[in-house]
Amino acid sequence: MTNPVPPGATTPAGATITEARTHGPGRLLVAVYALFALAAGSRATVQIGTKFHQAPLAYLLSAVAAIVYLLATVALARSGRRWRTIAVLTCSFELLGVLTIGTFSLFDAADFPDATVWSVYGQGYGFIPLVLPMIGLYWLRRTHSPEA
Amino acid sequence: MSNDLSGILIAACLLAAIWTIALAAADRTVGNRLLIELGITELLVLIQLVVAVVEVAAGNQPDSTVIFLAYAVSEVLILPAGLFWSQSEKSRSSTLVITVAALAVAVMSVRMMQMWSTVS
Repeated sequence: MTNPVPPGATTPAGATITEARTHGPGRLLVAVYALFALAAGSRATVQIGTKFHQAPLAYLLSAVAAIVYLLATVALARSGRRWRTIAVLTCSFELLGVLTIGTFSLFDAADFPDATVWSVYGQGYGFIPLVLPMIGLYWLRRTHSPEA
Repeated sequence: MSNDLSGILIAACLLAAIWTIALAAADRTVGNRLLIELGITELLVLIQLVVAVVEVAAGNQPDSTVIFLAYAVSEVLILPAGLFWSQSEKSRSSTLVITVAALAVAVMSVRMMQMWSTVS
């Protein structure tokens, strides 16, 4: 059992399928991103709904993280150059976010009283929020064919 | 919440995770026996949800009740969603989608146990 659409395969019509990106390991990536969209989304909803005044900055960032995860999930699952671009942008944004917020949360604990997905580089989530965008960007690069 | 229920649920999730990793390693597809195991696991997740709602309604307040209930509800969706996503393309990596879903449910149930531990 191999990847049903290997890179460079051709359809019956003869068109080249260059989007290995949305198949095989790409689907696993989509699943993990979907989980984090759910995790970050629920966390942000609870935080904003129940204790927004405690740390508005951190909770708004939680919401932003959730929206970006959701967008990345969709972008990684869909084929097409435009979706690939969105996937690259959202994965990059996440990497930047987890590095920035992770660093801030170490030095300014007052503004980040409890864990957001990105606090301390995603420590509360087994550091997956730190590793995931790296794997995402690696996958996007690996499956990218310049002539696509 | 009973620790026995949580324990059995977590064990069922870990079994599903190991099972799917073995299937992926052997390059084999998801069979009926695994589907039955996943069905039982999902049933345990539903029982956990009912128990959680009943306990909270009875006045027990676990640490962060809202998150506790959110976990119980979210867990119900994860295995069916994972199975659906994994079966819409048959490949090694797709089988591992079930592994991810099962591990997520296991971790969430551990978190629920931790939140519940503040209720005496």
